[in-house]
Amino acid sequence: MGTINSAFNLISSALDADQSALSIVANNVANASTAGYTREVPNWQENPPVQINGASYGTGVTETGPTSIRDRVLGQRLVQQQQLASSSGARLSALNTLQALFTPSSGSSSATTGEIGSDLTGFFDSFASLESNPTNNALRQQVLSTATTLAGDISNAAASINSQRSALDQEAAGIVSQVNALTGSIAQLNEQVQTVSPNADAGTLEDQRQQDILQLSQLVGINQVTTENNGLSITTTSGQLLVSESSNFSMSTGEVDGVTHFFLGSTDITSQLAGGGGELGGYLTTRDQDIPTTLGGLDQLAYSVSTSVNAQNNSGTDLDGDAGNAGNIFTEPTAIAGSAQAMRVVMTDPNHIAAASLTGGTGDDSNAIALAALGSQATVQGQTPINFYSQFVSTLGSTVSEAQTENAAQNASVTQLQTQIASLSGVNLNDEASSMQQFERSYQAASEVFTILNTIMASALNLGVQTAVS
Amino acid sequence: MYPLKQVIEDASQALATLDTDRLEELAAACRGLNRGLQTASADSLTQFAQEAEEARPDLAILSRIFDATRENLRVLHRAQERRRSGHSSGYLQNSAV
Repeated sequence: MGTINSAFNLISSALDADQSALSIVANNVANASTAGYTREVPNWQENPPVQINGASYGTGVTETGPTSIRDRVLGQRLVQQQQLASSSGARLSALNTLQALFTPSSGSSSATTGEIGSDLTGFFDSFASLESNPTNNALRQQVLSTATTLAGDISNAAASINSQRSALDQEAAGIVSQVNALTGSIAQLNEQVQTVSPNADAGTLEDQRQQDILQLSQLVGINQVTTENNGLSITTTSGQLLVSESSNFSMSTGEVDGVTHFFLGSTDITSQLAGGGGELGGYLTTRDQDIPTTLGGLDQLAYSVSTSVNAQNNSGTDLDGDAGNAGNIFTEPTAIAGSAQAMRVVMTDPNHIAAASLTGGTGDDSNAIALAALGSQATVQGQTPINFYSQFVSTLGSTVSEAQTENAAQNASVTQLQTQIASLSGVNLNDEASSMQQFERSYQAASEVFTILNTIMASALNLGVQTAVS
Repeated sequence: MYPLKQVIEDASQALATLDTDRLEELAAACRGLNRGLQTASADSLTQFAQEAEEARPDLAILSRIFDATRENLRVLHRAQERRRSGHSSGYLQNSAV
C-alpha cells in the first residue's frame, strides 16, 4: 500500500511540476510582446527519497519556481550605450537648431541670420562704392543700409541663440522630476527584489527595475553597483549616489547666474552631469559648452567689426566737416560678451560717414578706402571678418558632423544589443549559439567591407596613385 | 553604378541590424571594386577619388559602428562565458562593462 501511495505521490508530484512548468511557458507566451519582459524557465528540484522496508525510493520532482534568463553583462552594456545615444541625440538635435541659424536661406521667414557672411561682404563693399563718389548721398545711405542689415542679422542670431539656451535650460530642468520618480521607483523595487530574491527568482520585479533603469539611463548618465540579494545602488557617472538599495536621493534645481543648476543635497553636480550621458547630459553640453562657444564667436565678430569700424570713422572727416569726431556707426561695445545681441546702427545721418581723411577736403575718399580695407584686414582674432566668420561656421559644422557620427554609431550599437538581448532573453526560438554565430559572421563581413573601403579610400584621397589593395 | 556613399551607408545599416547576408553581399561587392580599381583608367580613378571624398563622413560613421560592434561582441563573449560557468542570472559586482 505504501508502495502504491508512494508511486501515486510520485506521479502526482510530476504532474504538478509539469502543470507549473506549463504555466511558466504560458506566461512567456502571454508576455511575448511586453517591453522588458524576460523569458522564464522552470526550476526542478528532486524530492527527498522515501525509505520503504529498507529500500530507498525517489519521490519525483517539484517545480520550485521560475528563474529568469537575463544577463546582467548585456543589460549593463545596453544601459551604458543607451545613455550615450540619448546624450548625443539630445545634443545633435540642439546643434542642428543652432546650425540652422547660420545656414544661408534656411532661417525663419522673418530672419536672415544665415546671410551674415554676405552681409559682411556687402557692408565693406559699400565703402568701396563710396570711394568713387564720396559725397554721393545715395552711396552714403547704402553704407548705413548694409550696416543695418549686418547688425540686425548678427543681433537676431545672438537673440535666437539666447532663446535656444533658455529653452534647453527649461528642458533640462524638466527632466529632474522624471529622474526623481524613476529613482524612487527603483528604490521601491530594490526593496521588493531583495525580499523575494533569497528564496525565489524575482523575475517580474527585476524586469520592471531593468525597464526603470533603462528609462533612467535615457535621462541621465548612471553607473550601477550590485548589492546583497540582487539589490542595486545607482550613481551618476561621476559617482553621486542616486539610489542606495531601498533609499533614493532626489535631485533638485536652483538658479545660478541666470541658468538652472542641479543639486544632490547641497552639492552642485551640474558640471559633472554635462559630460555624463543621458538627455540631461546632452542638453547641458549644448547649453554650457556648444552655445557659449558659438555665442562667443559671434560676440567676438560683432565686437571687432564695431570697434574697428567706429575707430576708423572717427579717424576721418565727415561731410559736415567734423574731423576726428564724426561719430560711431555701430553701438560702441564696452566688452566682448554681449556685443552681438547689442549690435545696432546708431548713426542716423549719412553725412556723418567720414569718407575723407583728417586733412583732406570733404570730397576726399582716403578714409572710405581705409574703411573698405577693414574688410580685408586681420581685425578679428588675427583673421579678416569674412574668414573669421567662415571658420566660425565651419567649426560649428564640424561639431554637428561629429555629433551625427557619434549618434549614428551609438544608435547602431543600441540596436545591436537590443537584438541580442531579445534573442537571449526574449520569448523567441533563437538559441544563443546560432545568435552568436550570426553576430560573428556579421562582424567578419563588416570587417572585410571596412578594411577594403578604408584602404582604397585612403589611397585615393592621400596618394592618388596606388588605389587598389594588393 | 551603385555610388560608394550608398555602399557605405548600406554597410552601416546592415551592421546596425546585424543583417549578415547583406554584409556578405557588400563584402563581395567591395572585393570586386578593389579588383576593378587595379586595372582602372586614370579618369575612373579620379572619379573614384571624388566619390571617396564625398563618402568620407559616411566611412567615419561605419568606422565608429564597427568599433562599437567589436566591443559589443566582446561583451557578448563575456556573457556567454559567464552563462557557461553557471552565472547566467548573477549580477556582476561593481561591474564596469
